[in-house]
Amino acid sequence: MNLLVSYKWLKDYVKLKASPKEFAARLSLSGPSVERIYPQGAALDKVVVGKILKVKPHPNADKLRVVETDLGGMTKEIVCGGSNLAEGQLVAVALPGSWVKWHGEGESIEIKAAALRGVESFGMICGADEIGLLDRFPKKEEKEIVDLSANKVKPGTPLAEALGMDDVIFDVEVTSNRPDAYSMLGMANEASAILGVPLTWKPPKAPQLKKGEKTLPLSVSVQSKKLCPRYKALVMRNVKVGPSPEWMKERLASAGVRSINNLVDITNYVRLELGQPLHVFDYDALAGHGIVVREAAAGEKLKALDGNVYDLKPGQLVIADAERPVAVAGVMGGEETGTTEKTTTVVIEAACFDPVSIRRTARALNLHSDSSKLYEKGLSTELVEVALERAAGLAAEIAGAEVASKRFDVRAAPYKKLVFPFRPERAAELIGVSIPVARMRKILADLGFKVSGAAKKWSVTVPYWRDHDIEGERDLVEEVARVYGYGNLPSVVPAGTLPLAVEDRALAWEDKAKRHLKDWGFTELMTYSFISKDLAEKIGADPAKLLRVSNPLNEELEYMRDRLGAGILKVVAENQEEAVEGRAFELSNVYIRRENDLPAETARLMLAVWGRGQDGRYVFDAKGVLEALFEEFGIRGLKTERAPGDSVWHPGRTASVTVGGETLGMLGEFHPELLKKFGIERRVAAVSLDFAKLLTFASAAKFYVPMPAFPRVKRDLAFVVERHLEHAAVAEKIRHADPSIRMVELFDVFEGKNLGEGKKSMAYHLEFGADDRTLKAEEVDRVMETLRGTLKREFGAEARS
Amino acid sequence: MELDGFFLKKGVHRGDCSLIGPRHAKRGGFLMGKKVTKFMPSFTVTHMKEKLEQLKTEATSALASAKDAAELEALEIAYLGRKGSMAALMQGMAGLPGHERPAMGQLANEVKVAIERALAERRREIESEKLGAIATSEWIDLTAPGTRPPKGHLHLVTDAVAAITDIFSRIGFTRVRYPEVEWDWFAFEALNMPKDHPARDEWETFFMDAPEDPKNGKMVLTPHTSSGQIREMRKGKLPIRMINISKTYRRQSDVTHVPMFHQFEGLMIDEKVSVTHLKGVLDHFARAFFGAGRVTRLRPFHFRFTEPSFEIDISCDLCGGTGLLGANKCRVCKEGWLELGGAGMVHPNVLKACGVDPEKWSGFAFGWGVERTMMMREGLKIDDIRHLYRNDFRFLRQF
Repeated sequence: MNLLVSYKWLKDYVKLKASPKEFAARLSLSGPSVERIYPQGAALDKVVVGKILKVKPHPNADKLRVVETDLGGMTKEIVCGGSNLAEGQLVAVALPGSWVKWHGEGESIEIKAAALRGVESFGMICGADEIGLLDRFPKKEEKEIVDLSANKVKPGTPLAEALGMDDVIFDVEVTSNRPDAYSMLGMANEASAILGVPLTWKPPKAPQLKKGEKTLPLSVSVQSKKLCPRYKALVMRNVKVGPSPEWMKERLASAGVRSINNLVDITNYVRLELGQPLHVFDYDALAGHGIVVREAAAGEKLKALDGNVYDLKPGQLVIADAERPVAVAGVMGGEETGTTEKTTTVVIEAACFDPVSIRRTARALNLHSDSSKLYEKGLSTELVEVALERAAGLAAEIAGAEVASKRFDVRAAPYKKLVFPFRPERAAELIGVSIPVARMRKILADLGFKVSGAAKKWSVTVPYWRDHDIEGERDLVEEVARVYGYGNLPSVVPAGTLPLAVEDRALAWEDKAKRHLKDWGFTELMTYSFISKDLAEKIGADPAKLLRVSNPLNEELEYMRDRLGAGILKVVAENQEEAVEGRAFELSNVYIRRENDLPAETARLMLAVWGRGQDGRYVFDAKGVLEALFEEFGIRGLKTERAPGDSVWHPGRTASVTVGGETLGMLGEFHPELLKKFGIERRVAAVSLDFAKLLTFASAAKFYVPMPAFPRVKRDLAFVVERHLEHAAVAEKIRHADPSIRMVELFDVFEGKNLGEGKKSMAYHLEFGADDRTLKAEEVDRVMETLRGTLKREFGAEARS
Repeated sequence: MELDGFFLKKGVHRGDCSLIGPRHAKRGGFLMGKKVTKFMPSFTVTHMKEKLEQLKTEATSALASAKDAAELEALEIAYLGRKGSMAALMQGMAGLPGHERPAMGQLANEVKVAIERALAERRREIESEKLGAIATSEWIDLTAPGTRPPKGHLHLVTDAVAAITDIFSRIGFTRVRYPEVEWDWFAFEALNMPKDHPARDEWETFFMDAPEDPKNGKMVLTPHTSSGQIREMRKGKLPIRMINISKTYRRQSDVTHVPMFHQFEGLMIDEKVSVTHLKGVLDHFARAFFGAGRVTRLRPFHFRFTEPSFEIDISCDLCGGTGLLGANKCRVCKEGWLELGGAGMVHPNVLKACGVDPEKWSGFAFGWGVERTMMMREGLKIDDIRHLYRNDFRFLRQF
């Protein structure tokens, strides 16, 4: 959560002399982080006050005027379309070289002297939005320009100076554990400790009941003390609702809060100043002049200050009067009991609520306010006291309010201060340097901690505003370390004994597979682990069996995929014009649902090859990659056996991939109908592998087979067979025809009219050899003769010469 | 070899004029348009000297203008062959007075060497002229594109993961991988984030439509890799130096967020591990990954599972660490700094939840987005993180 911090305002509570830049750097390195610095006047560089001397018509444009303007020491003509231009008026002039936001939108642009519709214009007369002053000079009309006539300054005066804008605003990120720092006082506390400067803030002086005055009746009861550990209230009368004084408006504006009226402003101001949300009820609107803090009853409703009606449920904490809920506790007040311009008597509430309850309620109602955001983080019961007094003091000061009751104070239990042990030696060990003990003590003291106890084991009392985020000794170590400064610590690469960790072999093999596929021309894809119902069904998965996300971002991302195909096909479809032919792969986990357990996360590999060829050629490209991959993985015995196909796989171009009888995946072409569904006008072949199973066969071991001692004899064999005869059967036959056959390689297959209908030619390279001698040509001839006979007999193969 | 001996051993017949000179130049004449003088044996010192000089001049000039290898070979035979001019001239040596012979032999040798040199030089010249010819006949266009090996592309994230793994392995961190679908207990509870803790809001978590586990709670998609800390420590093997890289998921999608991304989580547990060690390890990484030109800083931050906690910033590459682009604030950084990610000393409660004694052991952890970290690398100015998962080939093929 980010807080806008005015440097001027902050200086009211802590003696700061550092330049804004230095302050920001030091605070960031030891405490809340300053994300941006906005010098108030910086945006107004070269924007000056000008005095309009004469307004003349523009010769070429009806809606524009040529304005003769005194800029202090020079008079220039400026073209302007402002609707409220008047002679003698003081206006804001952006001179050439200044930066403005055109119509208040987008990035700033630089103003240059230029001709507008043929008339030279020396800069620009600005509207409030163009120079970021809309808060200060609200517009009544679209084309209105800023009227500065109320400011009695000389023409030529820089605008920032004329408006007293010498402040610097810091945009500070406060971590969620530090709601105390989400306030001006909290920021002052941090600054004091980190920059080593004294805190000048004093607890507020509270107004008291005037002597002899009667109190107004009010009853306060807290029924749910677990959810409301402390509730304080005070009645004030004779309130005059009206505008807040300028100083308060300015401060609220610096924090990005709009001024409403003095009562509302007081609650916002105290929240910003002290970090405690407050609420103000109209006393006369509270039925029975009673306040009951309780859980909502079933069926109760509340019309909140935002105008919406909320249905309340038991378990949600409300503030009620004698009859009905008047506020969702800590979240938002009700409209009917809110203050109006007619309000004269008020009840100021300062309370502490259970953070978990507030969080649940705000979420259930989908109603988040500045107040609920603070309460959710966990506030101290002790903060309500100072906040109530501050609010009462301000109400007296700026709204003429007078105390009209005692301070009602209902608490669940007396406050118990948190005390933790702290061992300076242990702290030094964890930080890594020996910080002097005195330094540690001072850091803790500067932050409001009280230190006592023995030299080796301190006893540290936590200040109330830190009683939620400090949970033990370790938190105190952090306090010391951060204020000491992480930048002051050396950087040491750890020595010591290296753990005997075994590397996950899957990771190494995955890397290897990816590198090879890249080298073989494949583009790696990474698609989301999520899949839509529609895609799941398309790719043949049953959505009912998939793991479902109960709060998906959208329906495209609803299920956890149990296979990869859909992602790849979607990518092919989207890229088919860019990559008419292509190769891609994805190696990712899929998620297989299991009963009463986390899903099995298994790595799968899918590689795809696609193009316009209709003849099944991509299947061989894919198969070649499969073979090469298995070779690189040291896997022998790869078998591809014809598979029947289904709605996903092509019935004539699909095979299972097996090793040693285990099925590792599929090889083939996707079914043309499936491709149509994906809008793919290509043929896509793929290999899909269970990568985890594959790894059980993978081996990096190398084997050496002695080179043949005697040269081999090479022969080619070509023959014509039936078109459907498969290579595997032929090769098997050849290989076992004679022990002298050592190598069989298919090198050519073709079909042609001259071969006859339904026929094809196959040609093989063969190698013959013997372990103990060089084979004679006649021996090989004899084997070839037998082989031809065998092939003729088995397959009806007709030899070709 | 001595000239004298050579000629003597050859047993040239003295005074046999008919045997002098190359066959085709027996009576003087022209060889390929060049005059080849027919030398007669001479028996006076002066005359012989003259003849030798003449031979030298003529031969070197003839050789220098020989047109091709064939002519050169013919000339070689004509001048230096067994029956060539030189040999013929040398026949006269025997007729010289004995004391004149050594000087004359030396002169003859010089002439022979000169001719040989001229021959070699011209041979070289002809050779390179031949090369000059293929320069034209075999010219190719070297500006035409090369024949490439197949070009594939690894996803940027794969590349980054490999680089990160490598950098940490150098200081003894071993890569591991833990479940992406995880129980609430591992993803939150054990990380010191009890149910309903507001800190849980910082992780926009996806929940699984699955029954709750009585012990471990709801099933979630890991919004961070920190659950891997718990899994690693619960193995019970100490000390630990791990780097857990995995897919992680959060319910958000915009220019800087994707619902699925990768994180890398470092965890070191040992005796007496301190903040200075965390600094050392992070500096090691930043230097190796981003190069020496970028600066890092540690800022206090808050995470439930580490204490102290930090955020690590690196100086912005786009604005050079100034925070300004012209008069406007830099779009990508905050006052010159980019948030790299979070880190901290493992919270004692987390150690306890994993059965590790916080009095004996301490450690640090950090978990950063791979994509985010990678995109902060110099040069890679990707304006929308979602490009990484759109799988547009025009994008993927750039890397």
